[in-house]
Amino acid sequence: MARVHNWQIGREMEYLHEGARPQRQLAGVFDINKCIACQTCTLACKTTWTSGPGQEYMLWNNVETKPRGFYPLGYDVNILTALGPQRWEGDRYVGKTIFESAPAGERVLGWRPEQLDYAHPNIGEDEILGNVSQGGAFEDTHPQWWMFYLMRTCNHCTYPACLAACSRSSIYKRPEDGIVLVDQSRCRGYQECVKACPYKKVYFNAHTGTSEKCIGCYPKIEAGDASQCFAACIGKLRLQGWISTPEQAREDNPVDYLVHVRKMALPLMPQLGLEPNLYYIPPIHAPEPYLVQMFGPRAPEAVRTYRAAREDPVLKGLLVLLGSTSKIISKFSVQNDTAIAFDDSGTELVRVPVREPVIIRPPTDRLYQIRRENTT
Amino acid sequence: MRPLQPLLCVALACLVTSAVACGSGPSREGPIESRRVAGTLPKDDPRAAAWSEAPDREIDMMPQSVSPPILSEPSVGRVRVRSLHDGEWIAFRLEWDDTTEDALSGVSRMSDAVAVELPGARGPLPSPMMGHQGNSGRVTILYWRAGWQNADPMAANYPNRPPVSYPAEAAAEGPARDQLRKQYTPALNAGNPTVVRHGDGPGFRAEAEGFGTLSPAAVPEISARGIHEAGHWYVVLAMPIGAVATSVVAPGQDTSAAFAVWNGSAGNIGGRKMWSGNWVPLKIVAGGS
Repeated sequence: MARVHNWQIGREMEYLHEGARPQRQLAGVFDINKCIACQTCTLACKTTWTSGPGQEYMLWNNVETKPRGFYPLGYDVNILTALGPQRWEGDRYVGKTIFESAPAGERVLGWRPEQLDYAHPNIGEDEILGNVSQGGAFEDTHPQWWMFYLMRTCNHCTYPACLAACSRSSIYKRPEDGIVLVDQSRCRGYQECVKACPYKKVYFNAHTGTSEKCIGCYPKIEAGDASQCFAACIGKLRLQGWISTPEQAREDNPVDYLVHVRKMALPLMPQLGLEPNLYYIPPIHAPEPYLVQMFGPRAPEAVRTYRAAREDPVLKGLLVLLGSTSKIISKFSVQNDTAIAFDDSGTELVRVPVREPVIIRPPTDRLYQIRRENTT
Repeated sequence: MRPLQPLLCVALACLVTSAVACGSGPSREGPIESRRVAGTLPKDDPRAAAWSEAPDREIDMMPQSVSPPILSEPSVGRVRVRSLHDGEWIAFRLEWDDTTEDALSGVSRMSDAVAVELPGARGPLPSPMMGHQGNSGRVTILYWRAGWQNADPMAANYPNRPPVSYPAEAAAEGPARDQLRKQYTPALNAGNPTVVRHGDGPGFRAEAEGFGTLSPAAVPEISARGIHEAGHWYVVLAMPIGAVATSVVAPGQDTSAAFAVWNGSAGNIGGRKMWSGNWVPLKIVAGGS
């Protein structure tokens, strides 16, 4: 075991391989509060990459309803239960990661889903949590019932469990962009990666006999375009870019700004130790203990920052850039109530007004001599 | 006294020929003796009568516990090995107890399998544990997987699935179809020979120079077939003699072999296997028995 630094848990940890960060790391940010679970992202991915035999059940991208939804069944509950209590002291995680709690003779603490665990991709969809005793409809006009949608793809982790678990060295992390891939010419289908990935984003293909996973749409990334699931998001809640380590964070990098500078976007289950590279602006209406378990101890602060974003010109400006271009945004600026996105070369990608102009039309159209009706 | 003479002859014959033929059970010591078969070598028939001519050697298996991930729960305790050759091919017949026939690979569904390991070159023996780095450490592996005997694993895994029209199959033959195949079945497009064979046969001949280095052998020729009967697997694995590097396996040679077996329903796959641990001497007899 090597010692590597995981900034998400604020300490060094054990990992099978020496820490070698890529030249740059692809990352994404999701604003959970905007998602309507339309699954356009899911289908954009599905039709592009997993329409072949053996891939029927694969959802490299999925959107599930939390807390009752999972794909596969119970993926988060199972690993969190296996890991045991997870304790934080401030920003430092003092519990064990899945690498540090691997049983003797194993590389990673994991579990392997059964085929039927994949049979319910819509389980718990739109189901709420809460009961009358917490303030039901008969007692309160605003009951404390809650749910939110969680959009998930491969996290292209800095310390991938799938990579650590593969005894064939068939999984690798690309040095140029940090995308994690399964070498389809080497994989022998041992499914150790399926067992190890706590997010369950590696799938076994019974037709080819190999394991397959999200490829980050790397042909698009190489061309400067956003991945299919990012580009297709009609809720405009996704932002794809590059993340730095905290000490190298740049204020004009949109991902760095949201993750490191404002600390408003948080990784999913950072205590597992993989340093995942997808970040979530947590939902504003879910109970804090649940958010802390899912997104770490900074979740309550992130919610407060998000609630106050309307008073913050830069943050508000950056949020309107989400979903405003199908390109990868490397830099941004907010000037004169306008948010501007740039690519790697500094070329302007898109310019968006932070506040949409409001035009109030008179109730009568004088040109046509008709009364305007609000048909919506 | 005269009536006893035939019995005495039979007893003497028992000592000099196969102990199995006399019903005394397999040998648990000494080399595996590969004899020249009298007739046709049964290289794809594990239940052929010719196998009764071959001495039966029982080998104790133990869980692989050297290289993670290990096998924490023992599965198949013993494998019985017989070997025959015809001067051109050598065949191994392996038999072990397994009440479940796991003949399918799928999601969290592992297949039964077995492998024979042979040194890749003459000289000092390589590590019996998948060999070691370098030419002198190379081993040849003959591998059989029950799941590969199924020509259509998708139909077997999902017997009730509705008819599906996949994009590649729906497209006309040509570059567009090739592109769709590349996109949706990347392992097949990459020419990965270690996965589902789709009728290519259940055997795979490989080379290795240490853990995690298994790769297709330069000479891929192999014959393999398994039959599950009454709680037993009977599997034959065969390859041409003289094709292993510097003909380490040839009539008249004394060499060694090692074995591994996987019980699919016990979750055995990859390094999670039962193996013989050390080399077992293999004597390839030049003539007949």
